Amino acid sequence: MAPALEVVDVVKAYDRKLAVDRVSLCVEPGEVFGLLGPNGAGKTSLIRMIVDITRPDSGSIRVLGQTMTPALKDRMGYLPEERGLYQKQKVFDVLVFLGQIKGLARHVAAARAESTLDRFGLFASRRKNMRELSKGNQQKVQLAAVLMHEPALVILDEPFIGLDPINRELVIQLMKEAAARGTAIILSTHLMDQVELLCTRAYLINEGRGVLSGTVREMRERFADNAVLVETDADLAKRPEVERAQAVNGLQKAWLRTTPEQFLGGLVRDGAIIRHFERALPSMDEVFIRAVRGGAP
Amino acid sequence: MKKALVVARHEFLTTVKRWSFLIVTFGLPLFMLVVMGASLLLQKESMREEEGKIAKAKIGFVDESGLLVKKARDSWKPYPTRDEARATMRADGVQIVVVVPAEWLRDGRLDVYSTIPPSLFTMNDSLVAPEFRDYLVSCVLREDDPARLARAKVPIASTVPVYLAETTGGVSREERPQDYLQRMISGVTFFFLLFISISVSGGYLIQGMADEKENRVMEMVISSVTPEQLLTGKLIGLGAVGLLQVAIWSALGVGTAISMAFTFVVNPALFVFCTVFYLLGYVLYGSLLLGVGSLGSNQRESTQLTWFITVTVMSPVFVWVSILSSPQSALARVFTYIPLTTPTTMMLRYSVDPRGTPWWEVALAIAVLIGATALSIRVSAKLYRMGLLLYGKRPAVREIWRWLWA
Repeated sequence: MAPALEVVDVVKAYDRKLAVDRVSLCVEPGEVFGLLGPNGAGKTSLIRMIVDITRPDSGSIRVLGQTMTPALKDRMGYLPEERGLYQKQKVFDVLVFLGQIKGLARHVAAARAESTLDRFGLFASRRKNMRELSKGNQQKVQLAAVLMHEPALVILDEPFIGLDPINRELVIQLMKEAAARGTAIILSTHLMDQVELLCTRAYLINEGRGVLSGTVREMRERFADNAVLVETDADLAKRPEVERAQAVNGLQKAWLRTTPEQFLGGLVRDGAIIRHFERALPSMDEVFIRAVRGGAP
Repeated sequence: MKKALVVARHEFLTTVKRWSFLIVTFGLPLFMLVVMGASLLLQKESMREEEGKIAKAKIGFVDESGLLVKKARDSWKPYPTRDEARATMRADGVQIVVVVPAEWLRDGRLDVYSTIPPSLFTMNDSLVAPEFRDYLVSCVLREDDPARLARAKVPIASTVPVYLAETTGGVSREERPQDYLQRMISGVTFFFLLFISISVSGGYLIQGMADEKENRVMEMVISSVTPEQLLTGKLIGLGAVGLLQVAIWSALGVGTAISMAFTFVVNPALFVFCTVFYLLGYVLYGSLLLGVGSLGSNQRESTQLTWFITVTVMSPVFVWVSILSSPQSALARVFTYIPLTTPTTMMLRYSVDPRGTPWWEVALAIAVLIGATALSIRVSAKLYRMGLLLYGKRPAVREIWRWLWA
C-alpha cells in the first residue's frame, strides 16, 4: 500500500526567509504521526503545502501515492490552528456545506452531518447559529467537519486547545477509531503527553529544518542518560557503579558508570530485594526542549 | 465546476437569507414608495386646493386696448379703468381682474390684479382663466368660424415626426423617433442595471470575503476547494444575488419592468448584445474586486484597496449624456477601450447608434473585454490564493509582485 503522505526535500521561502528547508518525511496509513516544533518553526507552512493551499518552491509532495490534484483534496481533512466557522449560519448548514465541498453529495452530506453531530453530542444544537455555541462546541463542530467525509489523511493542528478533559477524551477516541480504520493522522501539538499517548512516530522541526525523527520510543532513547529507575532496599548512592542517585516518585533514579545490565547483575549478586527496575527515559517534553535548544545528540 | 456551483449555492442562499438583504431588497423600495407617495399626495392635495380657488374666482376685466369688441361672458365684470377696478374689486366680490393694456397687441403683456394670496403652487400661474384666453383670441381674429378659431387656439394638435439618421455612407435613413428612444432607453437601462447590480454584488463580494477572513474559516475552505473554484463560485452566487435584487426592484417598479420587457421584445438582438457585455463586465469587475480586495485584512481595508476599481467602473456616469449625443466621438472611443468601462460605453454606443458603430469596433471591444477578463481571473486567483491567508497584515508591493510571477 502506498504511503498516505510522502514529503521529499521540500523547500518554501517567504520574502527570502526560508520557512521550510529540505524537509522529508513519510506517513503510513493507520498511523498517528506527530509533527512537532516550537512556534514559528515552519509547521504551518509545511501543513499548508501538504493540503495544497500553497505550493513548495522545490521538492515534492505525494498524497496516497499521487502528486497533488484538486480531487485529492477530497481525501484529506484539515483542522487548521487559525480556525473559525461561519458565525451567522446554522450548525447543520455549515456542516452540509463543508461536506459538499469535500465532494459529498448533498443528501449524503446531510445524513453524515446528522450522525456526526449525534456522535459529538451536538444533535440538539443543529438548528442553532454557530455563534450561539460555546468555543469548545464550535471546535467540536469543526472537528466533525474534518472527519465527516472519512478522509484517508487527516491533519489536526492543535486539536486539543480549548477543550475540557471530557471532550479531549472524545477527540482522542475519535482519532484512535479513525486510525484503526486506516486513516493516517498528522497531529501537530505542543502537548507532549498527548504525543507520547497517541503517536507512533514523530518529526520535530525547528527553524524550518527537520531536527529529529523516528518512533516516539526511539526519540526518548536517543536523549536518554545512562540511568535507571529502581525500587529496592539497597542504598544505591553507596554502590560503586552509581555516579549519583536521587529519589523520584517513590523510586530511586541512579546515573550509572556501567551498563544497566551489569548494574542489575551486581544488585542481584549482592542479594538486594528488587521490586521495580527500568531504564529511565526522558519525557517527550524533555526531548523537545533538549532537541530544540541543543539539536539532536 | 461542481464545487464552484456548491460555493455559488451556499453564497446565494446565505446572502438572501440575511435580514440585511431582505430589509434592503424589500424595505428600501417600500420606504421610498411610502415617502414619495405621501409627499405626492400632500402636494397634489395642496395644488388642487390652490387651483380650485383660482378656477372658482370671479373675474373682472379692463379694456385699455379697445380690442375687446366681441361680447364677453355675463359673469365677467367689466371695469372702465384699472384704478376703479383696484378700488372696488374686493367690495364687488371679484378676485381676479385682467387688464388688457393699450400696447397688448404689440407686446402681448397683460396686467392681472388678484385678491387671492400667492402660494408656492400658484406663484407661476398666469391667473388668466382658459375661457378668457379663448375670448382674447376670438377678439384679435374678429372671427366667428369655430374651426378657424379652434386652429388658432391650438395650431399644432399632433405631429408625425420622422428621424433621418445619418449612416456611414452619408445617406439618410428614416426612423420613427420612438424606435430610436426605445433603443436608447434599453441602452441606458442596461447601463444603470450594470451599475446597480455590480455595486450591489460588489458590496456582497467584499463583505462575504471579509467575513470569512475575520471568522478564520478561509483556511478550512481552501483546503477543500481551489481558490479558482472559490472565486468562480462567489462570482456566480453573489452575481445572482445582485441580479435577483435588481429584478425585485424592477418588479416593484412595475412601470420600469413593463417598459424594459417591451423594449426587449421589440429588439432581441440588442438584448443579446447587452447581455454579453453585461456578463463579461460583471466577471471582470467582480474578479478584480475579489483579487485586490483579498489583500485587505478586513472589510474597511478591502474597500479602501478596491476604490480605484469602483471609481473607474463608475466613470462613464460622468460622460454618459455626452456619449448618448455623440456615440462615435473620440471620448466615446476612449471609454470603449478601457476594459473596466468597455461594457457600459459599448452598451450606450450600440443602443443609440447600432448602424453607425463599426462592426470591427464591437468585435475589438469584445476581444479587449475577453482578454482583460481572462487576465483578471488569472491575476486575481493568484492574489486571492495568497491574500486569503493574510490575517492582520498587508503584504508589501514587492511581495505581491513575487506572487504574480510565482
